[in-house]
Amino acid sequence: MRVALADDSNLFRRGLRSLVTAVGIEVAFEARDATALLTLVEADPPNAVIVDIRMPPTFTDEGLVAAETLKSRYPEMGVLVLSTYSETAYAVRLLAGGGHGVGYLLKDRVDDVSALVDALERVCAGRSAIDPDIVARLIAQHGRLDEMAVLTAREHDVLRHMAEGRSNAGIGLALGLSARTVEAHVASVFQKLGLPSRGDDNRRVLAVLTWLRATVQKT
Amino acid sequence: MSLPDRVDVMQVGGASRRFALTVAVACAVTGGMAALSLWPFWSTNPVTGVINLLVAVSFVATATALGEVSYHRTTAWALAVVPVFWLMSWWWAWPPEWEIGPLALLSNVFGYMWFVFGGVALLRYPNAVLSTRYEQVYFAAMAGWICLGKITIALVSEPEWDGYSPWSWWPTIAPNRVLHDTLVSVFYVGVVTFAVLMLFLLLAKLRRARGMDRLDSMPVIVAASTVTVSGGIYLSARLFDFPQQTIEALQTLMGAAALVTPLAFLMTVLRRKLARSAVADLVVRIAGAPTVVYVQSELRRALQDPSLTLWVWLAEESLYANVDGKLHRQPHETGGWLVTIRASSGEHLAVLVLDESLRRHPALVESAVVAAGLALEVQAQLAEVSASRTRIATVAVDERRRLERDLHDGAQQSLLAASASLGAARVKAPESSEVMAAIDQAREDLRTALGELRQLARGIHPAVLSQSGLLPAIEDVAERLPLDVDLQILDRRWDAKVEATIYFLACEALTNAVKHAEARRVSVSVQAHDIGVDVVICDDGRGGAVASNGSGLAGIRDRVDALGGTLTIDSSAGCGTSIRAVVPCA
Repeated sequence: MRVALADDSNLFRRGLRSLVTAVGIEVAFEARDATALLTLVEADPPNAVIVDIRMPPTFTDEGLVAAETLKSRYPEMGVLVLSTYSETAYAVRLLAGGGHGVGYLLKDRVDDVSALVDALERVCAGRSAIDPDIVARLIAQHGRLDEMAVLTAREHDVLRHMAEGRSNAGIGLALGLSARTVEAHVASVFQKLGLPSRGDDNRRVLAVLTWLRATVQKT
Repeated sequence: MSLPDRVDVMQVGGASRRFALTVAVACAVTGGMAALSLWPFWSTNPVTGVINLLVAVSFVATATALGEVSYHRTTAWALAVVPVFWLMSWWWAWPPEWEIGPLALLSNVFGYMWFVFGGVALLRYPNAVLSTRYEQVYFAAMAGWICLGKITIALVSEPEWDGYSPWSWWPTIAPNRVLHDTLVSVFYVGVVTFAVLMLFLLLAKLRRARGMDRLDSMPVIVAASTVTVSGGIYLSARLFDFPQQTIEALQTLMGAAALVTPLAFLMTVLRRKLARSAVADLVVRIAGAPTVVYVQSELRRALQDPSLTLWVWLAEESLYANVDGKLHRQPHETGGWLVTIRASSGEHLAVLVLDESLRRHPALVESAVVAAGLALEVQAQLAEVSASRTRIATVAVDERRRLERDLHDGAQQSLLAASASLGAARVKAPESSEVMAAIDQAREDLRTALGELRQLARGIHPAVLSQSGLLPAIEDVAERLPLDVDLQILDRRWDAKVEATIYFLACEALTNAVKHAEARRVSVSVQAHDIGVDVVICDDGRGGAVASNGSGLAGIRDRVDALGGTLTIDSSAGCGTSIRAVVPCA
């Protein structure tokens, strides 16, 4: 797998490069801002791009804008956005494009190479990946809510994994359940929460995240 | 632009004694002349005598008082000769032996001149000029008519025909009773016509006068009209040969009407004193005036000048601004009297554009200017204090953002880079080795360090606030709280210092709701307001929140104050807490 790295901090890029190369991932090139990233991708498209959300010149959402541009130009390319802060609004905005091959991870995940590689592999495979911390926080926020109380503990776990962007198979693997059991739990969660349509796995992530966020704001 | 000279208070005291003496002397002299002029009446008709003596004395007293103001000196002289002519007109009643030489003729020719000089004085007041050509022509014509008319009549008459002693010196050329009677009739018709014209001139004057002048001239015009009407009636009675008793009664009535004139001047003086005290009140009323508009409207009221405009000098821009916010290099008015308003330090504050008629009220204008100066000075100081507080608040917010940026781009990126390097090392380290254990320990330490760093940065200035605004930033805080938070936050950007203030207000209120009030629900509303942002945070806790010294809420109140906003806390025990802030913002 060949990935491109985009971050304005030399120090962080160096750390990230040593991390991914350690697990045998090739770094195609590095860029220190979004413009450079888009130019370099144009010249030599990698399999995936890891991009910091906050880059020059305004240090606001340049990485997110670049990710959206990349997804529209190269639908097959995996795009993993890194953020220092867990902003669910940004995660939802990223998924709004369909969630196909996009991921949103906290930068802290770089100390756990398996999480990073897992996310990279998922976005390269056209799936989505949402940082477990973001999902955990949203769900914790709902622990006290009536809507969440109707879910069983198992369904709770399934919801969390769905929000992180896992497929039924992935959920089954993580929870040690058969695909058929997972499917039953997913159906039950959707029905209990009154979520409109199941759609594909990626749309499912967006639906679940949006529901979680909307409920937080409504309360 | 000029300031009226300041009145020296010490001199006023001395001047008032000298003034009293002048009035006393003038009244005594006039009283003496009146006693002689009205001599026959003291035995035959003392009422007429007393009334006419009072008329003479009161006119002279009024003239002396008016003469104190150098501006009115000429008017005062005109008023002062009125009693002289008035008394001369009574010499016909003298015993024959008193009518020595040309005295009878002088009385006959100049007796009516009191009407001319009285008219001049009244029409000149308070403007001290005859403002139209008609007025000048009118008085010249009337004086000519009276003098030439009387002399012509004398040429064709004997003195006794006009009530004087037959032995008086008289310029008789060809005495002719019929001609005399005809000329006398024509003469009276002419004088009555002049009296009617006088009424028109007075009305025209009233129509022209504005503001303070109108109020000043009103009593005088009423008096002048009264005298003119009664004089007209008296002359008409003579013209139509009414019985002698009626004519005498009308003459007395005219005297009584003439007494109204000094009263009118007195009323005007009193009214001016009232106006001056209204201006003195002005100092109190506008000292703490909240706005320039208010200062202007109070000045308009005190100076009776609805067209008055106030132009505030903006030193930094070198421009004048009026109350509508219009800017000009110069106070932009056609005509008017420009008066500079200065601070006690002499600093130029503003310019007043006044009606020209106010030039005649320098003391009044000066008091108003001093009052306005005080008010504007206080306002300027308040604005300066508020501006400097806002500057400090802005600097503080900028400094916090810079600190946060430094933490984010410096320390945090370094720690994350170290995390990544450790992650790489972890891949290479043998499983379950001491190296792996050491790496995991370092990883835990790094996670703690990152967490602490972020908490610190968030307390200084949350990055999400600078990046995305109030909605995500407060959402971020709300998501971490163990209670239901209802957010109604308008998703738009405000000025950075306003956002920071509202953010920390929300944090403080939310923290209090959780920690102290044991609330179960809390709502945060941030909406647009006429002047900026309206923030309301309500919880259902036990209340009792106060912004005591050193408390978090007191700090927030200071921040809100610094931005010119208001913070109100409603937190009676047991009823929850409701905190509302309105912060001005473009």
